[in-house]
Amino acid sequence: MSRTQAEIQEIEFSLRQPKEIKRKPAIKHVISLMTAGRDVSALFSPLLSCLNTKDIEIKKLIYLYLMHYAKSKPSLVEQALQFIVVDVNDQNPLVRALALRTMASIRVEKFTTFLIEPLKEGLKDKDPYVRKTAVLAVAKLFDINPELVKKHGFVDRLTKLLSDSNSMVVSNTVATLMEISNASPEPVFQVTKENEKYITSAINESTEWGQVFLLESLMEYQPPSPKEAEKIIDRVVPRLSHKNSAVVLSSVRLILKMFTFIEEKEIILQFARKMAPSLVSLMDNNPEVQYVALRNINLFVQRFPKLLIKDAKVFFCKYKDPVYIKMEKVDILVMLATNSNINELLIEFTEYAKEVDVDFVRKSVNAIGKCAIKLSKAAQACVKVLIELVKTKINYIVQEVIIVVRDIFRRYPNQYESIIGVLCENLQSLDQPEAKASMVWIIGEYSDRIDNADELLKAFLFNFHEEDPEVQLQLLTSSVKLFLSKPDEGQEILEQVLSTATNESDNPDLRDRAFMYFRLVDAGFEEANNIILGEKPLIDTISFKYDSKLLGKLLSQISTLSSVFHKLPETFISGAKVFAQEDDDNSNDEDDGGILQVQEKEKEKKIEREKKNEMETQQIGQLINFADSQPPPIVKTKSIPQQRNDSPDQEMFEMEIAQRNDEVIVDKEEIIDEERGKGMIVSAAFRRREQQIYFDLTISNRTSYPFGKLAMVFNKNLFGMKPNAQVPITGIMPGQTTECSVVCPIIQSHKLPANEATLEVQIAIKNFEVFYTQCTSPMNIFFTEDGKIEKRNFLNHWKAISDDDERIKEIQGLSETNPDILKMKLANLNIFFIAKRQEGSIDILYFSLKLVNSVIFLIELSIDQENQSCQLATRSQDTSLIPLFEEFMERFLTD
Amino acid sequence: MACSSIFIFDSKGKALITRNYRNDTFLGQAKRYISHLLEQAEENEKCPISEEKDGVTFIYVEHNSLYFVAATRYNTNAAIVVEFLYSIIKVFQDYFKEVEEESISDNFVLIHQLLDEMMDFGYPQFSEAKVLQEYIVSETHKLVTSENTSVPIAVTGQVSWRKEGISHKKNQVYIDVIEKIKMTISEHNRVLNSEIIGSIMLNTELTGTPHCHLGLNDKIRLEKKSSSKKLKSSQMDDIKFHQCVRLSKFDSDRSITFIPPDGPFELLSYRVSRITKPLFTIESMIERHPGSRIEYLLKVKSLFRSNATATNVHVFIPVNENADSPKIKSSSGKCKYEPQSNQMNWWFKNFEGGKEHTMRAHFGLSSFDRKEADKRPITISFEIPYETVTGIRVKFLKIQEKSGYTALPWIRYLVIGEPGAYEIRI
Repeated sequence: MSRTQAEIQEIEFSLRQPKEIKRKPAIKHVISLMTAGRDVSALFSPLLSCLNTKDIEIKKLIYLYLMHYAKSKPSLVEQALQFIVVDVNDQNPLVRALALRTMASIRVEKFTTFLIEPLKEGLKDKDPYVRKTAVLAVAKLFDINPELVKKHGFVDRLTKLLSDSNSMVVSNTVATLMEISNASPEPVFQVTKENEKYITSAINESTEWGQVFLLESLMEYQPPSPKEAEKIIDRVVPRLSHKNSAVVLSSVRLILKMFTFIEEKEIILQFARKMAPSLVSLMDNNPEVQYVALRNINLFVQRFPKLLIKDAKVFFCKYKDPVYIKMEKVDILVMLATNSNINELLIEFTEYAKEVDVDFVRKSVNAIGKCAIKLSKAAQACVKVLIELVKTKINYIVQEVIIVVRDIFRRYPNQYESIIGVLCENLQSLDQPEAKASMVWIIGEYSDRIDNADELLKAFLFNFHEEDPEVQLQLLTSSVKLFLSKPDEGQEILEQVLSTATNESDNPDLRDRAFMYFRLVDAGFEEANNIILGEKPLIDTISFKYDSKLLGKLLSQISTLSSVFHKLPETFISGAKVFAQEDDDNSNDEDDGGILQVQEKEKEKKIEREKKNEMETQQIGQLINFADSQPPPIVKTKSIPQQRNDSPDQEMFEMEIAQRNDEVIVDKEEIIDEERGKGMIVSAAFRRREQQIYFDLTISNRTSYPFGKLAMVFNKNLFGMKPNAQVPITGIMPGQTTECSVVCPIIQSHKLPANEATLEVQIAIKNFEVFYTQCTSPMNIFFTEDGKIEKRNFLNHWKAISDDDERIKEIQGLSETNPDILKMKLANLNIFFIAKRQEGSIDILYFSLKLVNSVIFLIELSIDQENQSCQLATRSQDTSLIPLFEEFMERFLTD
Repeated sequence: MACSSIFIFDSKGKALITRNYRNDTFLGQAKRYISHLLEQAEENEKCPISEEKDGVTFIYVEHNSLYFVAATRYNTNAAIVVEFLYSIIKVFQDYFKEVEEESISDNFVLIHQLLDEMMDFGYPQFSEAKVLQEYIVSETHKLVTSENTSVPIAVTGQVSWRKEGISHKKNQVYIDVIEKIKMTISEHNRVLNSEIIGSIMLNTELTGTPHCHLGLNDKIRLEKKSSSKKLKSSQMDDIKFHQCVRLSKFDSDRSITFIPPDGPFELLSYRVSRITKPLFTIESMIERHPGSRIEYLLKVKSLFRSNATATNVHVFIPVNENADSPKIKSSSGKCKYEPQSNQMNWWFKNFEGGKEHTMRAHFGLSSFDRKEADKRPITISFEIPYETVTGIRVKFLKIQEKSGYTALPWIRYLVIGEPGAYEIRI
């Protein structure tokens, strides 16, 4: 302590030196201590006296200091303000701009009023550097106090600046206006025909960064006619040759947007052809840019499948490419595969399959399978390569091959059964459920052609009880198929399986299905044969693509994070405004020529028909042979977002749910794991929003049968939460994951006696059988929104509680000691800030909160910045809950 | 949409620089992210863009074991963030040559000033190191001028890359035409994939505000607007220009006109992806006798013009991990076994066109080693001066300045095969 003090004193001494040259190193020292996290607020007044200087560097450093302490020590800033205000009228534009930037960055609401006048002046300043700084200061002001921006008509002032002669001013103005407009309930800024002129002409003169802002703003422009849209494109096309990838991608984004106003397909294609080489060239960049480019190219290829085919080679993987790039490249290669380049691609994929990264190898094998499904003419060649790969006997390759072969069989029945022999040689090495289930399916489906099918199945039966449910169900189905095609050989096996499944298994689905087969076979051999060995719908390639509506939306997000994640912004941005976009009807204009287009349409129709068929057969399928009528997820590699397997419809559904803005985000905990839930996985969390407690659930179905309704009850719990409805789920298909929420109001009668205080809530969930589990409810969900106590009442409350009812706890190792940030974080939890005082280096903060049972907690939090520790004193009429609260706070503050 | 904050971490996850532009992301979150990143980094490169808890997205770029991390809460333009992180590195390089832990912590005051100038409220503003250096100075001894520091006109001007009043005693321009070749050749000497990334680098020492016009031979013929619908025998697949080139002018009449920045910069880059014939091929025979020995017989052939000479040719041949007791013989050049990287390095100072050389090597294999054969490709790195693969040539560089001086252009050509870019599968 004394050493620190001595150091501070020493600095203070240097700061008070009469000569500026001697003071400067001391100032730098202060800043270095500050950035290292030390508390140098004591040096404020000597520093302030240094502010009267002409040296810009000193000014900058002191301003940096001011911005850092502004929020925690507003009183100090008030003294400094007089200096800054003087600087606003300095001769030197650099100083004027600096002053504006600093004032706007002091994020204290109280001072915003001081900012208004200088800001108005700044926007009219003769120097463009000051103007552009002032423009961004408006954005900052809006962030702190949107009302002031509105009240003083800053939006109009900014709109006028669009015609500024300086392109940097224009580009920042556009960025600010877009930001304000996006954050306002209704758009305050529209790109009109006149604005558009200023914006497009500024593009040519802007810095690379400015160009991006300008291009982004044009996304909002609604060209009055197709000709106008073409004109915009004409102006943007030269940007495609820019070196900066952000400029290129933003141009692509804008051009794609303008396409939605143009109907002539010929024109669209003509421009699209110009974009293709620019996109390909992005691959010469550093890996990070390549990654962004690849994710975007993926979308572009879905929209214009033909344009990049001739460039397929660019996407060949280099040995040195990072794995995340290789994975993306393989995806794109599959999309670009045609009958003419497939041979080359197969050579590549085979090469990749020899590499060391297991995920990448599996992805490459999978890619071969996908090509086979996509290109019927090349299927033969693909299958040949797969057979070669099986011969490597490398465990994970063989398993992946089996998985894709199953899909190939389902796409081309009765064509490639010759592989079966090769596959059967490798049964011992299977250890993944999916591969096993696939193999068992193959044996069952082709039991009539596999001579020793009975022996093979028997080998799997050996471990029946230990197998994954997915495999068990498949074994059951395959045994029935074997019996139907070869009654003599299959009878013994079927009897064995049926008896095990009905008598020994506690999986209700397996049991039920076994009973059903039993009765079906019992009812008559012919009927069973017709139903079980009937013709099945073919699978198709539709799973490679996004649904056209979603694709259109993602394309309008090119270059943004949304396009990188392939998710709509509202699903990962909290509080983002839903991107208002009319539905582009662009599902049909993606091809080069007329004939092809007709074919494409035909295909789509066919696919639709097949879908319908599938729907119709589904009901029987669910009962009889479910795994056959439901296309299994084709891609299953770790590094690919789960989402891509799902059907687009479901994706949309998930997004709608995720749109809700969770104020406090609590991770869901897995309350029923796959093993315990016998294939049902439930993750859940209690969360508070909209003044209610919600129980948010994510339920996955990893079994091969659908779930119906789910029932859920809570045992009595601490505050008496009780779900007010059943789980709002009508059914979950195999492989699907669904999210839902249930409101949990507080019911007095459902309360536990207080002496059993615990935040665990015991829960029972029932699908086919009842699962018991528990879930911790984070304490903050019980803090109500009206827990703020007026400052003057606080003291009375505090005094009203005797000192005996105060509990004190020391908490070490705080993760955050900045009082302002803590205030904010706690406010999110409905713990309200009342007042603050300081004792030496210790900040003492007072808070209040109110529980759902109307008990009020008064809290004193003394933070010791230096030791990163604090003392938590809590007072309440009802002390029984304080230990829980302390535990909660400790976890929260140290996390 | 913008960035929320920029962090610089060292290789152990210690925060060197924190610059918070929007007060909506915190160091704690970034620390959690970086520790996670460092854990994963040991196995595999982590994807550079990922969405973390609490709706914060992180984007990182690694440089010299430093992590430049940007955090955002918005649906930011991902490309602009990556480009901006790289531009930070580039500006730092111009300021203090080596960007490493030491130079970052030594210059934090300067870095804070730079970050203030380069980005405001999360919007990238300005990244021309040359111009920044005029009003943000690194050395304290330059204090004399700091009273008069003012914003250079270039910051907000149309020609943001060039400061005013530049003067040189001797006016000259160095032009380097460099073509980097990437090629993948199959084990049967078939070219699977080839790509040439060409670039024209300029180093200008010109007084005043010169207007330049660069003329190239007709190899640089891009598809001209919409007039010709089909791609003819156009050479370049794509071309990218430095921001000083007037793109609209190029778009209208294919002429390359610009006011150059002072000093070295890349004027343009182009890409040719059609299959070109290989510059080197390799015939190899590798006999593995698992558990006892492995034998190599290699023949490398140069296929370019015989009056051209490649220099610094390195042929890297992968060798099994546990190989021992090397015996190597080569017809020319030097060949050395580099056990630390499990490869042989066969090196030629000069390699004339149309020649071939052979090499034999023999290694012992431990009797326990029954592993799969090494699948790494053979790679060659080389330089061929005075050559271009595409045949591009600079025809003229016209320089006009109002003072009317004449300037001398110096032109060099070079073909480069960078390490790892030219691979031959075995």
